[in-house]
Amino acid sequence: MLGIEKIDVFIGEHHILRSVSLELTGGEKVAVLGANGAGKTTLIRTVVGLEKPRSGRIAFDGRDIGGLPPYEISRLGIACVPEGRRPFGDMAVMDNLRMGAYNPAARKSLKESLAEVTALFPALHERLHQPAETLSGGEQQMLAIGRALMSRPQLLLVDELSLGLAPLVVKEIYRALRLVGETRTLLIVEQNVNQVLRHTDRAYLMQTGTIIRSGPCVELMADEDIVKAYLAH
Amino acid sequence: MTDFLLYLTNGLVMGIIYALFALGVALIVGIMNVVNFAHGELYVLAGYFSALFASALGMHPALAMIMATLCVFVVGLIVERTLIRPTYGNEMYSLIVTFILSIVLQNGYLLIFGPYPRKPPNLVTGATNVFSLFMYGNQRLLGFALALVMIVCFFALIRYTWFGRVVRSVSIDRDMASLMGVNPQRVNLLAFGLGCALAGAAGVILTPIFPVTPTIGVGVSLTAFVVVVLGGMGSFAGCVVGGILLGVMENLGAAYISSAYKQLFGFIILISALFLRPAGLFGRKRA
Repeated sequence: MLGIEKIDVFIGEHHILRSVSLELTGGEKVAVLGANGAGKTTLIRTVVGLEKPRSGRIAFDGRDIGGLPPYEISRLGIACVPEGRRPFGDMAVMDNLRMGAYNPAARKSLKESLAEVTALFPALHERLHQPAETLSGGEQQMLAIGRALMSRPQLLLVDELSLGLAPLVVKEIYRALRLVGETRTLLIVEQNVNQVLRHTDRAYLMQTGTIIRSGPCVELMADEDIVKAYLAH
Repeated sequence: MTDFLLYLTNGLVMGIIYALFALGVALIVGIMNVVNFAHGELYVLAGYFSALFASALGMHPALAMIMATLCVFVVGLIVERTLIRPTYGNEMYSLIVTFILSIVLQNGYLLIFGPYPRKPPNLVTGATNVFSLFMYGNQRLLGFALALVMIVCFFALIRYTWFGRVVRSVSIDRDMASLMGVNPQRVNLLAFGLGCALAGAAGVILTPIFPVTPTIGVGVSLTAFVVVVLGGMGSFAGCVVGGILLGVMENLGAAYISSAYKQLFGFIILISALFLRPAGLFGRKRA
């Protein structure tokens, strides 16, 4: 479904991603792990079109999307929950969700999507008319996921899912993502390794802009070096 | 007391029209981060168009007003497409480009229309006795009502439509909006056109009362900037409050202190407001 082939990404003069390849088949749930500055966020930003790869290829459903602007990529069925959640703070929760369904195709099923999202996150239902900036961090993350789901994407990218959230909230959000993952492909970027490995099938390990390991989560969790470097806290 | 109410009414009428053209500046600043120095010249252009359509083409004054505003909207689209779009990413370039545009337009008007004031015929004549206190020109009352209706329409557009949601989301977080499927270039184009049309609408409303000359646009631009900064950059509610505040203070100051210092009162309010609230009345501190 998503094929990233040896992409190199520069931000300004800085060489952030070095020949990164990644492969996702439909319906898979995949994690990207790594420390701060490993290039995980840049990887997501490149897939959604906010950064342009200088070389390499990104294909979505067989179509080259490497040079497309973000608004065209979003129409193909890729949605993302950005690092820091980035809700439209001044706008009501309802308007945030509506914006998620901006694309013509998604707009037609706005009511259905809204019902699905509020069923998934009942906390949002009670706050539909409140400005998004008045929500708690966990609720804002739910809103960010809900907003991404409003576009009815095939592929959902989640950046730093649990960053700055209470463990209980993280658990609740992973529970919701499990439901989301039943019908969609998921790519989750995380530093909170314990949780994400339990909820995904495969994982990639990134370090200073390259992928250093990949494999099924069970296998990674059995590897002592990795447990030492990433799992032991 | 009656005098005071008359000055207050004058202030309100002017203030609501200030608010109308300042909304155009706020919209363009909020969406595109472009300060349009030619805003006042577009106001003047609408004034000339309305005079031209009504006198030379013999249109009904009301139709001339609508046509003139539409023409300025189209001019705004053309300006964005040809002059502003190449400057994206560098706010200094757009500042210089619109500044040059304002000078070019002023001299163009002088060349085409001459230095004499131009106005279309009044839409209505006579005066109405307001609250049986004083007589007030019908044309001014109509201008007030028209500007108020336009402002209400603008707020409804921003609050309840897809275009409004797009405008709000783009001014909050441009990248996120583009991830929702918003084409930023198209939003820029429409927002710039609409911003110019708001200047145009104010122009056609005020021109029958204050005929246009080639250079009065400078004062319009300055007033708009004062209102936008006073209200808080990018805040639409701030524009309305700031506009009315400025209009009222200018008129009361001119009446009770001296009309020679009319412009000065605006700046005194601006500076004192910024002392108390550096981000403007409705502004937020930028992160």
